[in-house]
Amino acid sequence: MKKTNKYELSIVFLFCIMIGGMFLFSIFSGKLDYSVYERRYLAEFPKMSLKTIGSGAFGSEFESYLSDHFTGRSFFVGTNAYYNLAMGRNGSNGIYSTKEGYLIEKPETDSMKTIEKNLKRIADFTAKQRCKSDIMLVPYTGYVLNDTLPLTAAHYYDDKAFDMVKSQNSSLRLIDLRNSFKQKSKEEQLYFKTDHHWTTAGAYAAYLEYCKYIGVEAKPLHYFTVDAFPGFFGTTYARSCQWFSKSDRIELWESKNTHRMSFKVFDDDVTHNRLFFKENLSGNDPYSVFLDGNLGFTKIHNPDVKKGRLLIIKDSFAQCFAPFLAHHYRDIYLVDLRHYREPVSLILSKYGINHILVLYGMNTFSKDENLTWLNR
Amino acid sequence: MLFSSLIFLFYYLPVVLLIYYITPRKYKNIFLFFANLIFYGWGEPIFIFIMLFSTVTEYFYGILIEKHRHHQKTARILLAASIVTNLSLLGFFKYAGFLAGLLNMIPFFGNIPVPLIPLPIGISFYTFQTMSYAIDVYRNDVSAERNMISFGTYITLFPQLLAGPIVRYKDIKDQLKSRYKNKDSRILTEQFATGVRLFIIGLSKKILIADQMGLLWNSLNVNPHENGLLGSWIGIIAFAMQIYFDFSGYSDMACGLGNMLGFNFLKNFNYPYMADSITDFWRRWHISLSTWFRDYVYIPLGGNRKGRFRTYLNLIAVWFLTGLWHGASWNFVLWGLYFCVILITEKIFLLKLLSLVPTVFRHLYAIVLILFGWIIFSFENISDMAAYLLSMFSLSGGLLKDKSVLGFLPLLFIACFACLPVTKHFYYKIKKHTAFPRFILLAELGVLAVSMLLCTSALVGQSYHPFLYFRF
Repeated sequence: MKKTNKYELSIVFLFCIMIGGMFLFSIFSGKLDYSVYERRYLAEFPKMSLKTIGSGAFGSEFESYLSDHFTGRSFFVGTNAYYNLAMGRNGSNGIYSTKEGYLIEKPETDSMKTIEKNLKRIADFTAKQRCKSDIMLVPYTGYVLNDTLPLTAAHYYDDKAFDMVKSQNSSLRLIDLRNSFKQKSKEEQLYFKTDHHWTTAGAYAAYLEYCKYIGVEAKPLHYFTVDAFPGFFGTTYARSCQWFSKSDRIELWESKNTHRMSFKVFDDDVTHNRLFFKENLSGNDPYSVFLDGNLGFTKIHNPDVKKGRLLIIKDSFAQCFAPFLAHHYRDIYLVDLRHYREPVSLILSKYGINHILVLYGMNTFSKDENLTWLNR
Repeated sequence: MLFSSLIFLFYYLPVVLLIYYITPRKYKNIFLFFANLIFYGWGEPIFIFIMLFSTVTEYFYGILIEKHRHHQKTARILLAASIVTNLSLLGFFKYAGFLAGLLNMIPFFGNIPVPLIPLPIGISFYTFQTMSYAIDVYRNDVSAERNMISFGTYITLFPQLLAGPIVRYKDIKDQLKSRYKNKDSRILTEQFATGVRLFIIGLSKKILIADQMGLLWNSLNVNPHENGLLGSWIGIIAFAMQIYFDFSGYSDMACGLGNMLGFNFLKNFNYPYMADSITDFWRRWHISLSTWFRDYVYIPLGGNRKGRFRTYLNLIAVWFLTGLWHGASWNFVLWGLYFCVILITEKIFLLKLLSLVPTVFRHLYAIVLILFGWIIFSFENISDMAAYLLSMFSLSGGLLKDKSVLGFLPLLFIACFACLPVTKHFYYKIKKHTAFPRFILLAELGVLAVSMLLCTSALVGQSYHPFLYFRF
């Protein structure tokens, strides 16, 4: 008889400890304001008034507040991520996990329309400005590493997108990275494992392709010294919540020439004498070590080169790529339309630029509507 | 407030249970009453008043009906008034749009604007509870409750307020007053522990199975022609899993919470997908609702005692209403009538025919009909319904288009397995015959703890919103 009681009592105890324990932890644990991994501010304690309580708003906002500040949040989201993985739902939170340790973003859905729109915007712009223009789209990590993806992975539409570029405007020259990337990725790590960006090696591979297209001799590997910084956890890591994944290294490839280049930020009218901002490596966005992150309008100046002006219309991928290309141009202007609203045509006329490179990652190009600012 | 939310699990429940157990017995119901109101009002503060209105008016109706029970006519009028009050509330909040749509079909009325009235949660449940009370008092099946607090606690009891089971006053009356009388701590501990098990099982059913099956179904019901044949079948099975585990999970949680508060509620589901006929299915699915309609509509209409034709008519009426209860849309009525036709057919000759067929085929027969029933249930728009049905029989979309569906298969299999009482039998058998109770206890504690962990993880995971990183 007593045995039964102890048995049942343990069950009761377990339950009370679980719910009571979490309750006490929640009340007495400290509250953060900002989530590093989610890169957003966590919910604030909702306003308590007769109005907000009466409408039910207080109730629902309080729930958001609670879940945002729940004790051991990263532990629980991590457990959930690994549980879903174990149940066969690889990709449940938008990130595929491969055996080689890659965390790869899912392809966008419904992307063709936006790609078509963006291509048209670029074509209209270059036609009006009558300048030479190239487009380089960086394929999805998942496209290049397709063989390593799980069975349940969605289809990456890069081929369709590239076909669309090819069939579009002939004045826009396509620099097609697909084949070279697919080849090289077998031996080198072209993309980060924990981030959606390419590695510096990947940017270098693209640089080689670009040099081929413009008929210029690319600087060889031994021209650069590599400085590696381990412990990088990027965007796909944060999104996947698979906290046990291995980190990446960010590599800075510098040549003797690189040290003489300068970097001007037009937004603040400041000129730096370096391209890499190592202090960002320990911050919230280590990838911003390259050209100090996403800035609206900037310029790399190379005093060792006599001439050549290029405008790169970009997203974040170009920040890793431009330092290579800067070895062949005196001035490379970079415009990020997500943070710049002035007419781009003015830049072309003011600085006498007649060569444009549009450089976007496939993901951004499929979603971004900011290219509409080109044609202001 | 939902059971499957962080605020309920780790704020409301621990506090309520703690205060409830500290409170002396005679004040437990009062405290419970206020706890119920907070639970309900958390999400819908305004609608508390509707629920309270229904409760108070029903309380007085009960007393009045009892008082005038010997005056048949007066009692009848009072009963009618009570029913009309309840049905009006229900009709207004739930069916106003439906009724307006109905009237608009009659050319005389033309274009009545279809009102968009927010639906108070649980109204379908508590109005049915109040109506059952009035009818039972009228029939002298139970005496009216004089204590308004007890009555209020009954109507607003938070475990079954939102999603049932529909508890009748006569089943709970004694428990309201004396659930702690003559029960020693051993029995109470056992009851609480049973409650814990039921609650965690129900929570896991809802979060780990139902919600996931819902994701799968939602990915397959938007463009059925893109599913592929296999995809569409997987889709409707996913929905069947979702609705069963969601509903029975909630019922389990309700019963479990009831146990923790000293109550015993009746089981609402009994492994419905184990049915071997539709008649059997409805003895296992949402038991409290089908028995409600049987006792308060079918039998008063005469049941099967007024000849064949009248029996069929009565059945049609009951199933029409059963369908309509599930939702204010014609497809739900169609769903009810669909089963009505099958039930009548089974009654006439099909059941006898089925008894000659091997068990496997009986189960297959039931499951296929149930699945088609769910298709009717889940599409309010007839053309969407037809499109989905078509996709289940045409190979124009291939076999399976979206490979991510495969990722759900392990869970789908687990869900189907969980529809069988296998685990339960296994559990009881082990418990009975084991020589290692301590080991069993550790295993059970382990399972319960891991389930809570996974459920909590899923709930917290839902709130994880990384900022769109394409800006980086």
